[in-house]
Amino acid sequence: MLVYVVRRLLLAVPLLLGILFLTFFLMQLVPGSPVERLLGERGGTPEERARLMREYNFDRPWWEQFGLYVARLARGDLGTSVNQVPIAAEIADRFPNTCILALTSVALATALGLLTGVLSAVKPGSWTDHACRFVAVFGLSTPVFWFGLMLMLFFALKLRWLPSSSDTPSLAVNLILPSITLGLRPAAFIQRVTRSTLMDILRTDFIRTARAKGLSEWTVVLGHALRNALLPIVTLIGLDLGSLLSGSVITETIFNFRGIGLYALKGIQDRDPNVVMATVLLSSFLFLLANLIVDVLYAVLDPRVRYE
Amino acid sequence: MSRRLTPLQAGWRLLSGNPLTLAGAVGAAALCVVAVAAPWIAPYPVGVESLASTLGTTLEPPSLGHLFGTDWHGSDVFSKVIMGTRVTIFIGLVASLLSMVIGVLVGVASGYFGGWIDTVLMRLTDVVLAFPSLLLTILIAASLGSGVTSIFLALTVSGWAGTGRMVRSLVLTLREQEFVLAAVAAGAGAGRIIFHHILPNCLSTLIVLFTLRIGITILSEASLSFLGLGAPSSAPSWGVMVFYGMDHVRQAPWVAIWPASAIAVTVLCFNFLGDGLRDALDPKMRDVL
Repeated sequence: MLVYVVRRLLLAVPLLLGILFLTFFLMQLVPGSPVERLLGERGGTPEERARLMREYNFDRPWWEQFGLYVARLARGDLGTSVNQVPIAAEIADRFPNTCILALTSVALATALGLLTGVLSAVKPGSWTDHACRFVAVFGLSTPVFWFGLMLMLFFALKLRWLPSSSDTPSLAVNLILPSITLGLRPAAFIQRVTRSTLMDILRTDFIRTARAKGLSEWTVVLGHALRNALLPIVTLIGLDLGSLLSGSVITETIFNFRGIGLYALKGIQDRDPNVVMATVLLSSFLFLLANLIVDVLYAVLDPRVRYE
Repeated sequence: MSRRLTPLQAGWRLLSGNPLTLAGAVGAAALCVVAVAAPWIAPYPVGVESLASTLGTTLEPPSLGHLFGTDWHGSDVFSKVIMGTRVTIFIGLVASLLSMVIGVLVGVASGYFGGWIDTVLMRLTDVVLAFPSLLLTILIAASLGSGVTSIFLALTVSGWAGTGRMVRSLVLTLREQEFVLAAVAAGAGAGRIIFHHILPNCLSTLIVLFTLRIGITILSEASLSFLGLGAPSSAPSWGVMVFYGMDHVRQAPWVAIWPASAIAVTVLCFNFLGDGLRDALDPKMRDVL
């Protein structure tokens, strides 16, 4: 198992390098150098510009720049943004926010998805089932920004219950609408998978045995069936968490939430190569890590799964 | 023994038996009609904003005269939404088609020829798949500057990888089938085998992937526009309309809500249709997609 994990981690290295290279290449296509944008309207003296160009290695050919970046990254240095703020510090400041948002959203999604999924599977074809499935389809098709916008307009502007952007200090209050917005889609996925897996399992022999023993329906469903349906559900939750941890650009923009997604977007808007590289690297790494953890969890949850 | 149904008949059978799929199909068809006939449906001409704003009817709430109200320029939001159908559906269809074509080319090349081609193409696919997809789209659109071409490129480059992976796996199975071996034995060349034997057998999967892709593409375009990276135009897409509507969302929420709702309904239609088609044409895919 350990060998497997190490091999997967090693395989991720060339993949991440590829992603970095693609990002770097795209940032090279951006017209104008970041130095000009940094100096802004005052333009700066030619010496000042030359110094900045040298400082950020913008005067070297692009392959050298990329090599230097990777070499610095290997030493654990993410560099500074064009306005001189260390990127590691900025990420350390924002990442906890994104983590809390991701965890709350996934917790909400899991609760809602499991509940509706189980209700659906227990009585397929009933009106509860139809209602739950409609919610799922709604969740899968609704554009995140539309849902976020509606929530914001309704709760923040109409009812004035919640603040519509993160300028008030309380994180707890500011968390509610973004987590609902972000959690809707994962909830829909979890509902679908729970329903279909549970329905398959409820038809198997050991469930009939459990019922024949005289166990209550809820013990059968929750204790026997749901436990065996957990594998695909855990997969989904893990992958969702992985993608949410890398921040959600849209949700963070709507609610002006100070997280990684908004930072990445700002980096792209400022044409700031170091910020973009760092945020993309973090997102991709978390995505790959989530995949790996899910694969490892398979083996933990299901002893039949073995990795060589 | 029952008569074998063609995929189309099976599709129709499911379409008529499944209200959601039928709703999706009818909705998607209606949207296409609206897109084509937009100039005749829109009650007000779009693009003469300066004229209207002098009349003092900016940010007017929805009324009988202006069903969806008016925007900051005094334009009729309903007319703009109708005209936006054209732009949005066009981008959705064309960009989905482009990414499908690239995905099929990559998948077929990878799966059929194998070897180093497969290795190179699949590593490339891995990179795109592990790249946060919205960030990639934003990055491409931002680095190429605003314009319709950069939107298409951004949506295509970030959208082909899933199709590529899927087609590759299909080709790998098909390549070992007896009818393909028979064609090889009969002396058919690679081109003939690919176009006459392998691709026709991928068709049902491709149709499903395409239908589901349209929804994803429209959403990505809307997200891009929502972040201010859409193509500005006198007849903007729905996403661009939402972006500008956000400026006045507190005084005049209708300017943003209607185009945003149009996106939601459109994606819903294509997803219903795609889901239904998937069940009808390719029940095996139910767990994969």
